Amino acid sequence: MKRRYQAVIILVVLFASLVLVFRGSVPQNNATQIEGTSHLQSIDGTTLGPEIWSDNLTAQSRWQVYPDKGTSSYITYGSNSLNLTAYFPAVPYPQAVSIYRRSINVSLNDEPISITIVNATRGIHYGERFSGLEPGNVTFNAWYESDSFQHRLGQGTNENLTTNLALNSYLANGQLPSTDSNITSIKLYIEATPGQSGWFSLILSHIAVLATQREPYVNGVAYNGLIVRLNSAFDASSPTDESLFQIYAGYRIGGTTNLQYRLFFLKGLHVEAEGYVYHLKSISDYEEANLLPQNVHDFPSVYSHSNESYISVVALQGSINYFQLDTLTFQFLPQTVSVSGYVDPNFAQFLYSYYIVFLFVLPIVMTLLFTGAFRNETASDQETTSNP
Amino acid sequence: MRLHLTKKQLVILSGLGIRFALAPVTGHAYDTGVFAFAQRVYFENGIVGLKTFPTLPPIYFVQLLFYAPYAVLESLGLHDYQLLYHTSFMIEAVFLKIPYILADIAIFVVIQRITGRLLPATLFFFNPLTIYESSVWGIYDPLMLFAVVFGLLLLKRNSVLMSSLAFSLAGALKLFGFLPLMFVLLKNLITRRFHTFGLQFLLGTLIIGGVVAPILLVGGFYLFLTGFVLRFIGLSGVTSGTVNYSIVYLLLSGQVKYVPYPTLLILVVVSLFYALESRKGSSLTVLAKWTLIGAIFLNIFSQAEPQWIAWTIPLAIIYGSLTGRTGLQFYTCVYGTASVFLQDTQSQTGGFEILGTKTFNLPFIMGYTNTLFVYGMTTFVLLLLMLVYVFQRPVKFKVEIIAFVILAYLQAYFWLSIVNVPRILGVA
Repeated sequence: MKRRYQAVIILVVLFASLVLVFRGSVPQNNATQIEGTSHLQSIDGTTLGPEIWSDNLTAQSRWQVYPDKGTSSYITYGSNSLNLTAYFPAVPYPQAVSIYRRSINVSLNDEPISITIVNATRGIHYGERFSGLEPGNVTFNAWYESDSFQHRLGQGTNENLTTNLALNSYLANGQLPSTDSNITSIKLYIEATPGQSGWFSLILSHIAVLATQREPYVNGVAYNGLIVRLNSAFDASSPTDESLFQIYAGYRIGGTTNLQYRLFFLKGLHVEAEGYVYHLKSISDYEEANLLPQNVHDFPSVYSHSNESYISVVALQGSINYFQLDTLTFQFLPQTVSVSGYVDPNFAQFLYSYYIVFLFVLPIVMTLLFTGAFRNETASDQETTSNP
Repeated sequence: MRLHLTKKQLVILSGLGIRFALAPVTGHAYDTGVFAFAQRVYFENGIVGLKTFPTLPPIYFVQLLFYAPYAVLESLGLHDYQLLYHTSFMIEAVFLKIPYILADIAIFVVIQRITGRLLPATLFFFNPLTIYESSVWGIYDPLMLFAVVFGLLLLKRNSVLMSSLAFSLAGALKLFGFLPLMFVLLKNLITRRFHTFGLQFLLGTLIIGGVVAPILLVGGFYLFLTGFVLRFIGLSGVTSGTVNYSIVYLLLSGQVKYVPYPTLLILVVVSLFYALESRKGSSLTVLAKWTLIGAIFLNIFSQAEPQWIAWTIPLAIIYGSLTGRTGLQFYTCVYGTASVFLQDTQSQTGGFEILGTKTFNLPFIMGYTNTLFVYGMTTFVLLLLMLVYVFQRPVKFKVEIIAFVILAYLQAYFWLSIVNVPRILGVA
């Protein structure tokens, strides 16, 4: 027994010596780590900027009604509000009544944010859509069928619809519209489901578009997003023959109590890695976020057009008023987690069979065999068996 | 030539053969990548990656020790191969898993010494879930479990202080290991053995200090505290995106979020019951029992990461053997087999460990609606059954239990996937 312990100690000492001697001396290069904090260039914050377009919602406004056949509708104006009232007869198909505001001119260069306050009758569905023109009179949509502002259920109360128009254009078309593209029309609609009938209304009490303002980060200002820029040396030091495995970000963050946010890592407009959604903790303002390439499912509302690498911190709810980056570690491997990839079906079948045999069949067979053999053993049984 | 082997050696060699057959060709794509990365940057670039190492430092040091011979082989010109989409190389994967495979052997030996018989130890060693964790997934839980069962062995030999040291080391490897330490501290406190309590507390504090010191040295204390400790006790800042595997959280997510710090709550409740029972029963039996119950409750009422399921196996076998509960001991085989099936087909989606990618889904058992709910519910039933075996008078194992588990899985499949109850409840 004593010899065994001695052998274990000798092995541990030997291996520990190898750990010290071979540190940093293996010639292969199968992993790269870059400390992002040493490549930090600047941090910008984004806030809502000045109003670049609004409608005072008076009779002079140029809103037009487009009803479906069989419906009745009209517009009235109150104190700076527009009231669309519509009647839907009971029919076995969906119907809609829309109002349009055309000939507006909002440049996407300003990264505009639209803010609309509407009140739709409880039970009716409604939505809001923006469209525009790229240079050369090419039309584009700044909405898509599954975005959160389509086919919403009316609650009978005021609801605030805040939309990032450039982001929505990107999500709708898979790419950002060209520079100097403009939003040119707004559509609001109410729609009845098959069989739904009666009088319904949609009251529009506020509609405006604000520019996004980007400024160097200062503690205490309420930001809806941050861009943490990395310098060109970061890109130069990133390995070309390895892929991003993951990013660890450690930081202190403060904001409104309802703050929820997510981190992204981008190169220009390409999202390379995405983190989870975080909220503020009561116990500490320190947070660790893990950004993974296989987690990329979204596009951030705060981004940069230039072809640089940066971390985007997006407030999904509430606002950020304090951010201090502590750690930003990038890890690269030759082969990272791959959610999908081609595998020869015959080889896959062979591996599955191999796996099932060694993980399930053999252990269960061994258990049954040894259970039979040990059934009558006593505590001190040390019987010897032979194996050819 | 005939090779003479004892039964014990025969079991060990067979179990090792199975493990080494699986180790090079399998691996959890993400976890293996994390461990391989930490070792590679150390031996290739000299970077001590402790700051972002996602678990406790002793695991990092253990991995360094066992990876060193592989680094030597690499330096001598070894050319390793990457199988399909795995994040580690084949021989590298074996070296990363060796400490956990050795821990399996050590647990086998310790269980045999505690129970005095080979059968309970064999039930552990050939359990598909223990093989899966050490040799397929490559996760470090077997190291912690070894320290826990070794602590139980030392307690059996009346070496109270050394057992506390073993439990402290278990906690230094994975926080669950601190649970039995908490129990023995509590017992000494209520039985007014203040001197022993003081020594044990000092040992535990020294070990915790030893664990935290390297992190303080590399400046990653807040990362460690936030990414590891707070996450374990349910104070994570993650709102959504990460997965919870407990059916309680999956079905009652809206209600459970109002329960403050459920993990801590479970630990307190289990400790109270332990304190009540420890006054009458044998130290070893009561400790094994309540550590086992703690593991079961943590699996039901916290984020319940899939590898935690295996914590119960050696504890259930030891407790079952000490109290004559053969039913419980044999049930661990069904439990382990069913758990691996569930983890492979639902929580980890199979091909991940085998191919390194999720490209292939076996029809009907993978990739269907609400797989995680079916996993959570079936695991819940498996844990409840184990709890029944713990509290029920000793019974023999009945084969009908296998049919019952299969029925539970099919019921979960029907109600949670086909009928889609989670959608009706608005939680999926």
